[in-house]
Amino acid sequence: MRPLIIIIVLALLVVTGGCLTLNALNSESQRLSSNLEELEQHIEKQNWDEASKKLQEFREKWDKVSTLWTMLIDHYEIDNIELILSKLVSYAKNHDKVEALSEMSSLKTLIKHIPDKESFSLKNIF
Amino acid sequence: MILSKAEVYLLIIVFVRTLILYIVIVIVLRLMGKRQIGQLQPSELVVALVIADLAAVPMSNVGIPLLNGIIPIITLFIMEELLSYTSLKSEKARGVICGKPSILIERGVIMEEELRRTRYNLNDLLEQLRLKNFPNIEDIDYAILETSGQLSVIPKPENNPVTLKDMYMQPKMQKLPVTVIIDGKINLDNLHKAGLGSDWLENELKENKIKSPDTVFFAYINPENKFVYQLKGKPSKYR
Repeated sequence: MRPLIIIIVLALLVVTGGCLTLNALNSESQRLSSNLEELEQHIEKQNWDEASKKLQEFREKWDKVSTLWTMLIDHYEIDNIELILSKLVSYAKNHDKVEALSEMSSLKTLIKHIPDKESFSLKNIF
Repeated sequence: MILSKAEVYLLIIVFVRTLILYIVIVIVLRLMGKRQIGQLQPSELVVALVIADLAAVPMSNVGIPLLNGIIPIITLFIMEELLSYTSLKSEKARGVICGKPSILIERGVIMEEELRRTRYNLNDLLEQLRLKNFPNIEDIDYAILETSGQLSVIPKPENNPVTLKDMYMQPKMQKLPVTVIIDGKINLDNLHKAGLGSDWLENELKENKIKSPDTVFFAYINPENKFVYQLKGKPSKYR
């Protein structure tokens, strides 16, 4: 009976752990996305001081989130986001609206696609 | 400095990851049981190989989260345990999971159909029989291909080796030798199991003129209840 209990507990741990991490990924990514929406509006209006401030905020949030995410997803995804973020900071500093908006949209896609890639769906299983 | 700081960190990261995975593998393999490679069921062998491969990738590739290696190992462990548990409990499941032994030689006759079905060729069969010391098929009653892939041979009764029973001899009751001192350390557990106390051991040591158990390399109580020992750095001496 003992081995059965061990494997049931282990299986439950793995499944609940998987659900919890999926949930965490989803909610974090939604929060980050809403931050990005605000940031985008500021850039669109060429409100550069506000945009820099928001960008700083986003960075801080991202640093917190990324420690959890590195444990769950491929590290090159994290590196990609870091890279785009640093580009975005520089474009905001130089008030380059076109480049900033284009980087912005790729950042949004990346952040959104991470929970999609990790989600439990037929597409991801096969 | 030959290595930059980042490179040193990378080495330490790989080192720590390897340590973690090593511990996981040791625990999992330990929990899976004691059977040796030769006695593994085919599925167990495959699982062992896959686990080795799963651990190797995240060990060296720092870009993959460690969990990507650990979760599949745990999953395989869960499935393997579940399978062995069901095969332990249900006879039917055992037949499906482990297969059934096939009789290759029955009453001295080679079963052609069975050989074909198990893809066991005649040369393999003869080789295995020779290895088991039966060069003549006529000496054999049964040869059975076990589920682990090993061949077991049951010789004809007249070819069985003579045993004490055949000679109507009464052997003495067999007892296990009990190890009491290994490398200078007394094993009190074994001593108690043999129904003896440390006084007895002290007595035996004194009788054999051994000053302290530290000087003993190996000592045991043989089936005749005698204290047999070998001192450190000296050839064995029997009482």
